[in-house]
Parts: sequence; structure tokens; C-alpha cells
Amino acid sequence: MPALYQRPMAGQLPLTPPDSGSGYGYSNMHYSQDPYASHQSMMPPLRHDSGYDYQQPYLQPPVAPAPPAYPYSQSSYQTTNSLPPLQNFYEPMGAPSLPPLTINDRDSFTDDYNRRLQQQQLSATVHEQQHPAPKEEKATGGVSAKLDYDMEHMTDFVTEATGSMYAFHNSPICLADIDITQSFQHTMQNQPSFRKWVHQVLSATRLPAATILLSLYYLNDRIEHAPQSIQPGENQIYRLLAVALILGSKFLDDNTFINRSWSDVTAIKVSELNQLEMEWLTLIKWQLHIDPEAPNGLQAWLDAWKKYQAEYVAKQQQQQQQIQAVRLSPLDTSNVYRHTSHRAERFLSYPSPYSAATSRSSYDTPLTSRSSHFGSTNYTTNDPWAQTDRHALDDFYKRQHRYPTLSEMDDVSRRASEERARQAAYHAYYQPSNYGSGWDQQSWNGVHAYDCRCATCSYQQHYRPYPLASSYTAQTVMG
Amino acid sequence: MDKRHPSSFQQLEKLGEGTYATVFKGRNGQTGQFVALKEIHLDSEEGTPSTAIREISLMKELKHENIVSLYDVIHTENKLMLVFEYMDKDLKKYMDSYTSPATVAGTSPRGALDAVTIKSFMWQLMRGIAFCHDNRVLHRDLKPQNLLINTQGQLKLADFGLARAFGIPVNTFSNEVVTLWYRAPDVLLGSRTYNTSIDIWSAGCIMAEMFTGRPLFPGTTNEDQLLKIFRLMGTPSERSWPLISSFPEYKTNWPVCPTRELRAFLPQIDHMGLQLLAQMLQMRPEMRCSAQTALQHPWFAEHNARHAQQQQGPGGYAAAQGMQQGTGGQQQGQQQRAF
Repeated sequence: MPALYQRPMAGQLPLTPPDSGSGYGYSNMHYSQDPYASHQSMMPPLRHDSGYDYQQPYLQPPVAPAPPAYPYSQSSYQTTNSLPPLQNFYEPMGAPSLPPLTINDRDSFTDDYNRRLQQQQLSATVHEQQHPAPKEEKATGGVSAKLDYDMEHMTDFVTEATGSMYAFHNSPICLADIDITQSFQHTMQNQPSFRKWVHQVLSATRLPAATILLSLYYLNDRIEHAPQSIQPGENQIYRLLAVALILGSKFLDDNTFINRSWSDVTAIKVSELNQLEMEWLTLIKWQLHIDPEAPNGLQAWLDAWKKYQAEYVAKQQQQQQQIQAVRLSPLDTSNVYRHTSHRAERFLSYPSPYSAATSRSSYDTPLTSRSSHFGSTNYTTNDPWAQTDRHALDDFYKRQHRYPTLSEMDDVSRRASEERARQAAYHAYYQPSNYGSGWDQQSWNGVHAYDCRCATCSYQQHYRPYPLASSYTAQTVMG
Repeated sequence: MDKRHPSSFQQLEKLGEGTYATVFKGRNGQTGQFVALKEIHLDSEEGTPSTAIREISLMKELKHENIVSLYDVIHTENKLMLVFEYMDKDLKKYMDSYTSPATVAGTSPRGALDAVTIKSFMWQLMRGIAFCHDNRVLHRDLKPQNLLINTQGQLKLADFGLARAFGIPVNTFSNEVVTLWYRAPDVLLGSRTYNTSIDIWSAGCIMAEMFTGRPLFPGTTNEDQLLKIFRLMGTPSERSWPLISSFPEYKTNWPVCPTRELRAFLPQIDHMGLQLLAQMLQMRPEMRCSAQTALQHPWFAEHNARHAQQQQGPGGYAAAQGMQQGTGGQQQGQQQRAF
């Protein structure tokens, strides 16, 4: 997820409506009256990311560049500009009335916040890797001040990988025949206590991802090649993983822990760790310096981790999608939102060569640049744009739960207009987003019957003109 | 692993003591062969020290005539004993005890080696380094004390306690590596993404030291070390080193020193040698030559030719080295050796 929404792309991809054009000061108006803006952190993590990434533009001075053309009278909004900020109206009632759909079942408030921080870090790391920042990081070796992965995510990976290795060990199947890095699906049921222990160990040690993956390689190598050396018993997997991490860290990291510290973290006696460590070293004849490129070697683990990350993100997005499919009807505002600076184009349902040409001023031609950018990367699967129209649309409009009444939307009408709405969305984002009035566009677009009757629209119309900055700064308060 | 008992080695005099190990001269009771015994105390709190884990795991992979051989690892209750091939002295002691004809004549400072020996040592040093790098190992502590010399004039890399594997995509390296005097400017500037080029810088410093008998950049602190380098190599700027200002230790108040010709302060080195040295002592890591490139330098042409010949014909490396010892003191330009 962070990789997808990393900042460098923000310049070239129309990720979000506010990012999309020069006139975002005005285009934001549609989004600015978000009564739930201050409750961003209660959204599921996926949304969080994007929510976080949106922040940057919002934090900039609200004096956005004025749209080059402004076909509609400003005067109608001037009056309302003098009203108090929207969020002051809605905040008191916003929280209690927050629809349950935005609340992530699993994550607490603070967990979410932490995750967001971590994802931000990860995003920054990816950024640095792709555009090597000349500034050297101040992080240290063994104890990474700055993690290059999401802790929960890595915990899941280590837990599943270790669990499946051990399951294979206990099963009659010959492990050598199976590529363990490809077969996590067959994992034994992960014991929650094991996962908790893994999380505890990883959080306390904050090992770099490469160290953890090297340790998993050692562990797999031992289980594969010296299964007879492993004592029977449930708890052995804890010991094996602990010692594998010790060996990985001592071999690879410049800052290492003494076994006493490992004992404190793993709750395994230090004398036992010492003994297991030496047994292991003797068993493998101290051969810790391995060729990463060897078949089924470390590189396979690095790849597996990348793949796992990609799948993790894709899965989360799918969940998002499902939630949104049930609860949201994203089309409405796409039409409200649709506006172009060129009157002739405002009547085009599909992008014209002309509109494509104009869009190049702010981004590269979006579709081609995107596909070339992501075509061969691991992020392809994460790319909401590469998914179905439905998905892409949802991503555009994920902020829409702010209109609770939209959930009542007629599903049939939503589907009927889906394709057109998608086009409209692209169209709108690739244009300099000048403000156009929602009701005017609906009148020519004619798709949105709901618009006339739904309360959202009325309050939208009512509150549209509020200064944007105030409602978005609430995010930083939360974040 | 051969599980010999420590008592199968007769422990002789102490050769040296480090923070984590003590090195004794030893004799194999069965063969009478001399060995170096590195004893590592095992702390019950620490477990196996990471230095030992690295040194053993890396040296077991690095089998090369210019890298000290690790014969065996013997584990007892509270210590690890590493059995290494025996080498007579390290390069530092070798230089200290060396008296070249030029020194006697008063034309060369004490401690300086003769050009032929230097070239031989440098060739062997670069071969050892190249082998490490080819096997994805950074030595990270090259200095005369860690280069061992035997009576046949062979030079071997030792002490891999600070070494590190680099084939694995790691994120951070410590910049507390390499003894200060031999530490590359990028490391001094706080780089944590250094690579094999830091070993090349050290090798360049060692080469100059062998010619002069004195360390090239004997700094006292990180800052002083940088300034000593700048005084000879010139203070780097964004122009000479793009993005230097993004290093953590970059300062804007460095005194501005002009770049000096290596020849000016290393007059004893011949033209070709200076050319090679200049390639190794590049301020910017990406500009430094690799060990393999250095080995291809014409300065080593003679050694490479002889090596190629030895690969084909009979006659061991040691024999050639012995011959070379005999020719020590001659000007390398005059040296003509018939095989």
C-alpha cells in the first residue's frame, strides 16, 4: 500500500481528487465538508494510507492557485464563506454518528496510528530505495531506529513461515520436495501465542528485514537438511526460531545483542540459548556465509517476502472493496465532481484527444505512465488502477463514506452509470480542476436521480463553500 | 569438523592480545607444524561473540594463498580455539624491523621497504582483497597489523572479526569500522552504504606507508583524520564531489586545501606506482579502482606474468617468493628475472 501511494507518484498520477489539478483549492470543496475528517484514524489501515498521503496537499497553504477559468459565479459562495467552519458544526455529532463501516474491527485506535506511522516509514524507505537519497540514514545496524517493514506484517510472515516449516517437519512429506517459500497456504494453524511471541521478539530487537529473512533461511535450511537434529516437542519451534535470529543477527548486523538480551526477550534461558547456538554452529560447520543466489537460497526468501507484502496489500484492498461495494455508491460525487475548464468538453462523456493533451501539463499521460511504471514491479497487484473499474472507482471515491445517506443508494442505478462515471472521473482528474457546480453537471449528466432527493446532496450544496483548510487540518490533530 | 582436543597443540609464546581473543604460537603435537592459536573466551552472558561467528564463518569460505588459513575450530567449555596457519610477523613489525640498503645509506627513512618488496606485497594484498570481494566479503579492517608476513615473503590477510558479508541486501552498515588511519573519507563522512571501495582506500594508505615507513594519514580523531586527508588530497566540494554536502559529517567550515600532487609528498614512488596509488586514493568511493582493476595495472605486469607462468609450469609460489626475497633491494625497473 505505501508503495502504491508513495509520494513520488503523486506528481504524476492522479491519485486523489485534491492532488489532481491546479485548482484543487476549489475542487477540494467537495471534500472539505467532511464531517468525519477528524476521525480519519478510525478508518481501516488501508484507507489510512491514502488518507495520510492526501494530507500533504491539504497541509499546504489553503490559498490554492486560482483556476484559470471560473465559469460560475463566485458570488454565490461568497456569502457562505463567512459561516463558521463546517467541522465546528459537525464535529460534536460527527463522532457519535460515525457509521460503523469506517471502523476497523481488528485494530484499536492506537494500533492504527502506529501502523500508519510504520507505513509512512516504509513508504519513505521505498522512496529512498527508488530515488537513493544522498543523505545517509542515521539508523544503526542491529537495532534499527527506522524499520524497513511493517511490524505486524513481518510478524505474520515470520509466524506463518516458521509455522509451515515446522508443520512440514512434523509431517511425513519430504520437505526437500517442496518450495517452502511458496507454500505458506498449507500452514498449520498458527497458534496465537506463537504469533504473540514472535511479535514480542521482533518488536524488541527491531532487526532489519534482511536479517530476519536470513534467519528464516537458516531455520529452513536446518529443518530441511538436518531434521534429525531437532528435538521433538511443541516448544522447539520457539527455540529454533530464537537461535536462528541470533545467528542471523550476529552474522549480518553490525550492532548485535548478547545472548542475555535475547534470553530476556525470548524467555528462553541464556544457558540454553548458548548451548543451542553452539550446537547449531557446529552442526552447520559455521557455514553462515551463504550465496544468496543459490537455488532456494536467501533470494527466494527475499522474493517470498516481497510477494507476501504484495498479497497482503492486495488482500486488504479486496476487503476494502467488499466493504465499499456493500456500503458505498461511489458514483454520485463523480458526477457532482465532474467539471472541466472547457465548456465544450464538459459535454463529453469520454476523454478526448484534447483533454489528454491538456492533462499532460500536470502529469504524464496517466494510463501509459502508470502501466510502464508498474508493469514489471511487485506493486502491480497492489495497483488499484489495474483492478476492475469497480475497484478503481472505489479508490477514487473512498472518501465517500462521509455521506452516510449514500449507502441507501440504489445499486442498480449505480451499476448502470458505472462506466460513464469512471470516464467522468478520469476526465475530471486529468483536467485542471476548475470548479463547476454540481447541480449543473447533474442536470446535463442526468445519471443521478438520487441527487435530488438525498440529504447528502442538500448538505453538500449547503456547505460546499467552506474554507478547506480547516477541515483537513483536523487530520493532523488525529495523526 | 575435526574435533581435536586443545591439548593436541603445544602452547608456546603469546603472539598478541586483542579485546576478545589472545593469540599464541602453538605446535601441532603430531606433525610438529607451527600454528597460531586464537583463544576466544566464551562469556556465559554473551554466547558466541559475533566477531568469532563472522571470523570463523567467513574465513572458512575464504581459502586463498593470500588469506590466512583457518585450519580448525575447537570448542571447549568456556573457550573457542581457532587454529590458524602460522605467520612470522605482521607487516607493521616487518616494517619496524626492516632495514633496507637505502636506510643504511641514509636515503630512505627507517621503516620504509624497498620498492620490489612493496610491489610484491601490494600485489599479494590486492589478490587477497580481490578474493574477499569476489566472495562477497568486506574486510573492513585492513592495516599493517592485520597483514601477516611469513618467512617466504608471503603476505596474507588476517583478522576478519570486523569483516562483513555484503551479498545480502542489508540496509545499514556501521561506520565505526576500519582503524582510523586507514578509514576511507566516505566512512569518515558518516556513510553507511559503503562498499568494497573502503578496503581499496586502506590498501592505498598501506602502500604509501610501506614507501615512507610512516602512516600516510595519522589522524587523532575523526575530524582530524578528515583534515589530514584534505591537506594532501584537497578539500572536497560539491564541484569535486557531487552530493558531498548530504553526508552526515559534512561541514561547511572545513579549511580549504588545494589538491596536491601525490608525487610531491611521495617522491620515492615510481611513476607507474603513483598512477596506481592515485586510483586507489580517490576521495569519492565510486572513483576508486576495484581490486581486480588494480591487479590489472601495468605496475603489476611482471607479477601477473610470473603468476600466469607458475599456473602453467611446475615450481611453487613460495619458490618464486623466495627468489624475490633474494632480489630485494634492486630497483624494480632493472629487475630482470629469467625463468
